[in-house]
Amino acid sequence: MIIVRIQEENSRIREVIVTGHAEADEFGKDLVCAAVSAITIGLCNALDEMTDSVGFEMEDNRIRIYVPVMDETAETVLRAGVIQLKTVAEVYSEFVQIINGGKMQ
Amino acid sequence: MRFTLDIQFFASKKGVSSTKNGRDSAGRRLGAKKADGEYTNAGSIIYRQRGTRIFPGKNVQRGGDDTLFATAAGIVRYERLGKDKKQVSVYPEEA
Repeated sequence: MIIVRIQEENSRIREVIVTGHAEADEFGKDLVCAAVSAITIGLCNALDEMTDSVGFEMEDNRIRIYVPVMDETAETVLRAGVIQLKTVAEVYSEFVQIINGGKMQ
Repeated sequence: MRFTLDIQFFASKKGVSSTKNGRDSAGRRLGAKKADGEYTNAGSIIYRQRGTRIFPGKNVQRGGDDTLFATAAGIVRYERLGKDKKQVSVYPEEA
């Protein structure tokens, strides 16, 4: 199960952490994983190119995106990325779960 | 692009035979993002690092992954800290 944890503050996204394995199919054929990977890594590149106030942590099966100081562009781009992840989770809820809130890392 | 797409990044690697090596995580592009004397906005990332090669000085904070970012707009200054350490500060420009 892939967990997408979204941390907001004053209805602004401060942190998104995507962790886990989809396990929808074997390695190399896992379509749900492919969708989440493409959206999340694409989101990191978009944020990296469009703003310079976002931090990233990338380890095996874990990506953390955090916004140290409020930034309008980062908020818009992050919100769009989260909506795309929710679009996947809505259909593949068996493999992807969205969690709002919880403690910031 | 800074981050290379691994289309199976969130796949379970279980059962993958050892011959499937050759994957590497994206290059971290660490180092200075703002040079000495350069202007920076509040919130901008100044220095990416693992561990504290450079310490946060005035108007600079350290993020969870040791990234240093500005908490005020101004000019970036890399300075000595003690005998053998370095810090980075941001000095707001006089109005």
